[in-house]
Amino acid sequence: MATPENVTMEVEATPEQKLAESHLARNVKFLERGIATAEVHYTHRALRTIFSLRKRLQPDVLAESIAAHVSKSNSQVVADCLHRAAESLGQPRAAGSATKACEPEVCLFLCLLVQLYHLDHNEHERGAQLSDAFVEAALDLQRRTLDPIVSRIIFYCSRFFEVTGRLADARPMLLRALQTATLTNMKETKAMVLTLLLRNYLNYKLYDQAERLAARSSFPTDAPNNLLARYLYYMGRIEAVQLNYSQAQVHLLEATRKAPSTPATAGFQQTVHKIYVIVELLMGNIPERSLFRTPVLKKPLQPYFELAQAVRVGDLSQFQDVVSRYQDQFLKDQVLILVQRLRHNVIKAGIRSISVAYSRISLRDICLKLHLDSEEDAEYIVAKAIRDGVIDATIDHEKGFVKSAEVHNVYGTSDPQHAFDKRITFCLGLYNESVKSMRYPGGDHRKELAYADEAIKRERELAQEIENEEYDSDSDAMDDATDEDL
Amino acid sequence: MSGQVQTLTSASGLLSLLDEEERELQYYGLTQLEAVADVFWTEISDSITKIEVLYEDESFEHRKLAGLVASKIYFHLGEFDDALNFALGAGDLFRLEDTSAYVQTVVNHAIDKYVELRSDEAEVDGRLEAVVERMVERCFEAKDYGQVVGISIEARRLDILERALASGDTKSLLAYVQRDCIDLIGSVKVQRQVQELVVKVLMQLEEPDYEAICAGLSKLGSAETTAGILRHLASGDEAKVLSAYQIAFDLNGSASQEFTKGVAAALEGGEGGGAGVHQGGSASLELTKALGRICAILGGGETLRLHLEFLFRNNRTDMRILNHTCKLLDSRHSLAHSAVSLANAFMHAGTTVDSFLRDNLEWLSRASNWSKFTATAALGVIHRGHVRHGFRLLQPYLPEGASVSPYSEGGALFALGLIHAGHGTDRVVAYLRDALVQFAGAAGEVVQHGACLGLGAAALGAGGADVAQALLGVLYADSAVAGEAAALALGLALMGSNDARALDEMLAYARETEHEKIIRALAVGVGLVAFGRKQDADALVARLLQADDALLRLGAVHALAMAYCGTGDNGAIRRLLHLAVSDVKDDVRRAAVAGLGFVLLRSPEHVPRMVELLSQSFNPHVRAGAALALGIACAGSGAAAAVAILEPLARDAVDFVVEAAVIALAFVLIQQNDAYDPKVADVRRRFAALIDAKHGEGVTKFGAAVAQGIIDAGGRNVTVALASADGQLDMAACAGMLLFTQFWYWFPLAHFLALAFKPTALIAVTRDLRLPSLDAVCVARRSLFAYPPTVEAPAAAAPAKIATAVLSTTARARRGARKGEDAMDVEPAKPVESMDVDEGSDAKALLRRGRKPAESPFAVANMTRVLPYQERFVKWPAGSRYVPVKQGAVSGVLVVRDTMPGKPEEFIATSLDDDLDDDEEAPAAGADVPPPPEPFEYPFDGDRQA
Repeated sequence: MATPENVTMEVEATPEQKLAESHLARNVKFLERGIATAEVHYTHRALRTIFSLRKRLQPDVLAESIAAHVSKSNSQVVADCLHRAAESLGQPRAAGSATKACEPEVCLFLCLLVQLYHLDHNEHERGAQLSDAFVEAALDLQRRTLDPIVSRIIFYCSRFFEVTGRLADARPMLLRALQTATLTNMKETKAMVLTLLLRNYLNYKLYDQAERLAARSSFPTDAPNNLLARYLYYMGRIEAVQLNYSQAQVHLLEATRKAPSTPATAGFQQTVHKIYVIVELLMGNIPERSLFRTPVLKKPLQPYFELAQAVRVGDLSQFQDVVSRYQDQFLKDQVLILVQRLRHNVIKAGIRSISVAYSRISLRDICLKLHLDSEEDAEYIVAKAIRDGVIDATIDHEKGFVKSAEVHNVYGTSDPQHAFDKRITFCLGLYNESVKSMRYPGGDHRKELAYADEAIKRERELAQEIENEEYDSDSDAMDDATDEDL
Repeated sequence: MSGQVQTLTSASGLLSLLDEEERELQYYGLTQLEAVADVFWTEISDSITKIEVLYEDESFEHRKLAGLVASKIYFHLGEFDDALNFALGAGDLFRLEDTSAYVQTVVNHAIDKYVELRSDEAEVDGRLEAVVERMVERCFEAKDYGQVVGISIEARRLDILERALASGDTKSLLAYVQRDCIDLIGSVKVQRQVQELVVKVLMQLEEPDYEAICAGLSKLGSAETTAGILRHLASGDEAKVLSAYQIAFDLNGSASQEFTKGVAAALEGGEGGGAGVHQGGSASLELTKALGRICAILGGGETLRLHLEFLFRNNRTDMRILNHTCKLLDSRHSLAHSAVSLANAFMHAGTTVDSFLRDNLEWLSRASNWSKFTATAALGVIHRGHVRHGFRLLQPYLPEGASVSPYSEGGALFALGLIHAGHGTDRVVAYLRDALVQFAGAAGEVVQHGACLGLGAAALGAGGADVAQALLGVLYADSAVAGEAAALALGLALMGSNDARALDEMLAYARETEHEKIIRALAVGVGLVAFGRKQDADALVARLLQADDALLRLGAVHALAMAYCGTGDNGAIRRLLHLAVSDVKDDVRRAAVAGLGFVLLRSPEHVPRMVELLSQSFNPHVRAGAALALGIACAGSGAAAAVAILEPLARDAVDFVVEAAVIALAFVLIQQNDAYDPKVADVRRRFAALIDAKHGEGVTKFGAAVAQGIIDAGGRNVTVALASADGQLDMAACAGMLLFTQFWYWFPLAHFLALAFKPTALIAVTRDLRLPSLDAVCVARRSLFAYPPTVEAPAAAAPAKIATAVLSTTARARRGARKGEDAMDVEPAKPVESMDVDEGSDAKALLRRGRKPAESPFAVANMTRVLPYQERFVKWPAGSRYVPVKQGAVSGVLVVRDTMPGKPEEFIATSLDDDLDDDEEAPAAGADVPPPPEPFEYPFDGDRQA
């Protein structure tokens, strides 16, 4: 598929090639500047343009660029990587033409582009092999300035393993990367590896392992938002499966908030919302109707909408109907196990409405209203609901009734205060973070200082002028007076 | 999503093996767990207690394996302390030679832990020590001696250090230890131990490097051994005698006064017995002569004589600048009068040229009270090092002389001290001490003030108990004026001793007295006493920091700055920065920022970046402190980065910030010329403009005048240096600089800056200590290192023209000739200069420039100026008659060997006092040497009384 395109390109698309070349050169410059000034944001800038660059990527341009960066003074690992990358592009082994040693950042950036090229051209096997070598090299270097690049290389490496269907094989590599990233304090890589590991475990339904990993390691606090969103999503899924719904709900909600809401991330939003709706339902809440009306979510969330309706009404038969109708869909979304747990929630929804309606009701009546088998069942279900915080009530076991707690005035407590406090801290934190992430070009204040000097000078001159003027006007006034006298 | 490829998805099966009764099964479980620990550590960590139980079980024969597994798990969990403990328990199963991240991390942690325990002098686990030692062994095998040296010094394992020094390339390792390691050791005690070891190793070398040995011994203060070495050298062949001379010159430059005196005493003491026994006749005579010379050199007299000669011969003071300034500043104000006095003193420091005073008798007669004190003390700066004639020069002003004003008497006593600063003979010290007693009482407090300062300067760092006792006596009299000086002098006399008893007395008195002046002076004094003591001073600093009295906190700042002077110690910098931004008292903040300059003395390149933000502080005191810090640390470097920060400060809206900034600029740009840095001309013009400004503040004018004096100090032949070229701290210079910064409170203290002036000269002497005429070669353009041209007389300033510069005709002719060739060079050089912007490229730019004009090397004669940044271009021509004893040195006092003895030698005629003995009249050549300048004393006193 690539060949005819290439042929035509070689003939007429030289401007295209030139564009790609200039893009590449600009990125390389960014990277070099980032190393020189020890500022990561230059590296990020180079990486940001990767998606536009990806579309224009051509093997000859890439190979040329690699050849230009191969030099004898490179470290052995990096040089090997570049050679292998060049070979994989079908180009002859590049001779060392560069005069100065190229920075490992630039080399790995090129490796990353090679990865992308293979991914886009469905050369997964080859890509996987190459990626393995790249990751090895990247981890060997242990340079903190490499952090953002390494994290992406690892991501695509894991991706290759996933598309070739042997994700489990990537696990030792990821664990090693985690160890290196933790020891060398490469935050972005650590965040990326943790996310990938969770994905890896979840892929094989190893929820236990995933939970342990999450509990034993700490997610870097200042990881990029998109990584954080993904991590939170995986955490939400794990917790949902582990019956920790309230925590799962918090994490999933945060994931939707942290993820950017651009069309590019629609898939993520849909996926998160699917499980979010179910967790909400499991907690006994009914998601907002407006959620299902959002354009991006409307269609994919249709089955979940129907599910929510069934739960809201507390109608078991309708619920069973929805589940059986959309079973395949749920299975595909990996939520069937959670959906099956919802049966209890349909019951709980009933309990909830009962507890709102009645301040005191006997277990027998509950049993009748919800078509339950026995009073004992009802007691268990209500107890569980109380423990989960679905209802606020107490069970009188001896007399066999449920007593709802008095609805107290929330505004009389300090709860609103805490809520506001939480929001304020959140806003302040957001503000502080944005201030911290602002960049000021160094030395700019000098210009201001120069202005300040001028301003001081002007002020002084002005003061002097006023002084002189006062004197002059005094004398003028005196002159006038004498004139008048005359 | 294909089927699972991995066979093992959980370690729970292996973990359950640990619960088995059978030891075999447990062992098998452990081996398997060890293999999969990297993958399943999350799971295993849940059952870590089981593994720990197995490890604790004494009866389990594979408990070491359990330790290893536990260690690995803790490593993954980030608990490195536990990981280390279990790894130690694992014994030889923990394989040091592995290159895995696990082993490396644990070993690093082990070394850190070991270093920490050793420096706390705590009990060290034998196993931990074994691991570190195994690591060290591996370094030895890999011949990685640099690492071993580092670890052994940090861990205070001198035995390992000694072994490393012996097994590697001893010379380069020793140089590494001496240059890069010793100064970084925080504890003075360990530093001393290492120094002792270094000297020991140096002595064991086959060809001992006596210079290095003696430098080391001087730090240890073992005068006896040094004397022994010098005697050994002096009784050797000519080369050895010459190197003994050179060592004596070097010691005189770097070692403390106390030490050199000790060596000289030891030499003299052993002379009669040692010399005569095993050598007879003429040889013995030779030896006696050589030893006599060494003693003379050690006494400092020779160096001072040579420096004096150099400064006098090459004096290039531009009198127009001084006269112009003098004219513009209203001499009726004592502030302005002091400024001119100081400018004159600095410009002529050490040159013995006091013509300005004689030509401006009228100006001088306007001095009143303390400005007269300053003016008289200026004589001490001008004649600094003129030890032979000190008394005679000052005779008219000294108490028993013709003077009647206590201010000039006090000033003269201070001047006497300054002349002998750092080289106080017994006679001078005794004289000044007697003056203290003689003038006790309220009437004599001004004289006592001068006597105290003089005594402090003369007995710098060599104060015996009697000096301290006398000063304490003055202090306890509780007179603000005399007590202030006594407190400072006490600090000077006991400088660097960290004498606990004296410190206690000073602090106790600081709490007792009500005079702020005394407390402030005690704060400085305490700082001086703690000089160079690093961690030893921490207790003192902590004690002072807790004080409510801001002046005592000021003492803490001074103590920090002095104790960690030149170390670049992070802890000290952190504490100073904290004080600089958090203290409530402006004085403390200013001193704290300025203190950074002292701490970072030896790494001036870091200072601009560190104080850049502080230089933009809203608080003017912090800005002023930042300027001073730059001035102190970057003195004489011409660092462009420092100038870039100082220039805006010199245009600050607050007067005293401008004052500090111009003085700092003068420090930074001292001895630089336009060809080297085009900014210099701007800065000089800026000084003049500030003085000329009609509405300018008095303080800025003072600063500008003093700055003019500093930038042209010592007839443009001295630089300000607090450390020698090879990084040795100069105690006197540091004290001088600290006291100079006290001009903020007390102008006369500014004179102490004279202690920080270092002549930049090539002075070569033969074995008779005479000056042969010889030339070294400088491979660079001459204009880069030329004296700046004299200023043109301003067209309008008529009177300035009348007061023509007093310079010998020969000097003027020489300068005229040089100016001619410079004028051609200077112009085209300018565009090149504009290229270098930051300090990093400075050296590069210079090299670039230096390479280009390589075709035009010029000769550098004996007794001429060699600038610090010129040194690298100066070479000794091959095959010349005189060869320096010290390889590669091109500046300072150098002893040279005559390769063609017998041939007639040419010597440079000395113009000063070659054939003069103490207190005789001036010789024929000394037309410029001041006659007794009595005239300007008498009319003045009459005026005032009238």
